[in-house]
Amino acid sequence: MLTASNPVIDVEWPEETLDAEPIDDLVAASRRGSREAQQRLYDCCHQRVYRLLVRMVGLGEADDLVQQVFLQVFRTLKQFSGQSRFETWLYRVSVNESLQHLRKQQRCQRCVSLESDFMDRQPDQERDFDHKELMEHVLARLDAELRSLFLLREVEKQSYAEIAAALQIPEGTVASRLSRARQLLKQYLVELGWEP
Amino acid sequence: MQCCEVVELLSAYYDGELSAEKADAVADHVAVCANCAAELETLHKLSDLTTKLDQPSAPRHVWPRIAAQLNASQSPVTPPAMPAQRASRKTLFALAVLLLVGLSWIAFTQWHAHEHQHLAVNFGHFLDTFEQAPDEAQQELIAHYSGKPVEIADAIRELKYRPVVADGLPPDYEPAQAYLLKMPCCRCLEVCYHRKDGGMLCVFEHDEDQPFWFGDRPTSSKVCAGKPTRLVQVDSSLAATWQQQRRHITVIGAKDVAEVTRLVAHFDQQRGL
Repeated sequence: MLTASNPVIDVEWPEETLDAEPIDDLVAASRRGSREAQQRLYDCCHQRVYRLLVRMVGLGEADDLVQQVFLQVFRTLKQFSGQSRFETWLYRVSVNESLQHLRKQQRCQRCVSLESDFMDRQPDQERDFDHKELMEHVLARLDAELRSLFLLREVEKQSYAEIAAALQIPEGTVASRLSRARQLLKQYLVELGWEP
Repeated sequence: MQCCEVVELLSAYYDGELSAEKADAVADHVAVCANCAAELETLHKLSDLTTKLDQPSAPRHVWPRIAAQLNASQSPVTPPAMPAQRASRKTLFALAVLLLVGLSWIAFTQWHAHEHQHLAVNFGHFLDTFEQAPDEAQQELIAHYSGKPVEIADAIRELKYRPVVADGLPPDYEPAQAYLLKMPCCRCLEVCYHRKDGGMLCVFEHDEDQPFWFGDRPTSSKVCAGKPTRLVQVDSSLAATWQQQRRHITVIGAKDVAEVTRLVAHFDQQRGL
């Protein structure tokens, strides 16, 4: 909510909720500076961004990165042309930010060494823990760019055209890289004793 | 179609992304080729495995941080378009007020940035000195921020809230001294403890997140006892900071991540979280 100590420009925006049309309204109002619209847009979209970032950079880093992604989104919203869906643009920012973060992390020699967040967890309640752990492990091993592509397809259910738009690569490249990602995941799983 | 061609197309076939013609050709081949059918089945199994991944929920504290940062970077005053015509007295007065507010805001933000820069330098020096000479580091911090030794009961009265450390740390920490500091962000309670196995640990409780305390030191994040925690390497020890209900806790001098995790869990337990 806006307060006296929160001097932002506010505009009216429609009260409709979360299907495709109101997202466009929320984007337009957010672009005009409505903090309330920005919050609604965040509410609509942050779970899918967070889900992607957790798999890209780990549970411990995802909080800070989701914050960074949305700051980047709101600060550069004027550059969003509307030619692609907002969701596609959001995925583009998310993947770019996570790849940049991973590159920076690789350069940072003195960073506190953190083990994989998911590897920290204890096998307590999940009946499928073995399979889940296997999948966490092989995904973490996969090259980050291939991983982002696999996640956009398998978890976020994006089409090849949407992935191509998000990652700014041709659809043919999406197809070949996705095939490569699946082959590698299968190979890594088999190396860990998985029987397809 | 040969197996080598089909294998290249299987992934896109599985996703329903092939043209009808190519999809039919792949389907015909898979119907008669056990190897390619098995490859296709593997893609199904890979998807099944992916569905077993956890679907973590984003924590609730992220939006307030985003809003705070957006507010901080937002220009507070949008100058109105100046009409070419003669302005009325009221308009001139309003513009003068706006100008004054704008200049005050600029002066405030510059002062604030300056304060933060000083804070980063002073706190950076505290961190640099803490491990080798904790008493000396402490005296400098007190001198910079008008610190005064205080009893916890008095601190509660002055702060008008009950700090988490008021309920004590685990028994292997012996309280040495508490201080009230006048930091730019807020009045901040610092309590220093001697570990029974040696070394010193200081716990700060403050109103706002203070990432600039750590300057450009290598920082990383980890979930400690279920709570997102920022970790900073300081010589051979760790500093850590996390949100504790409405305020933030920063500890200096932790031995390792395990000690930070224990403290996070302890404060949560004290508050019945």
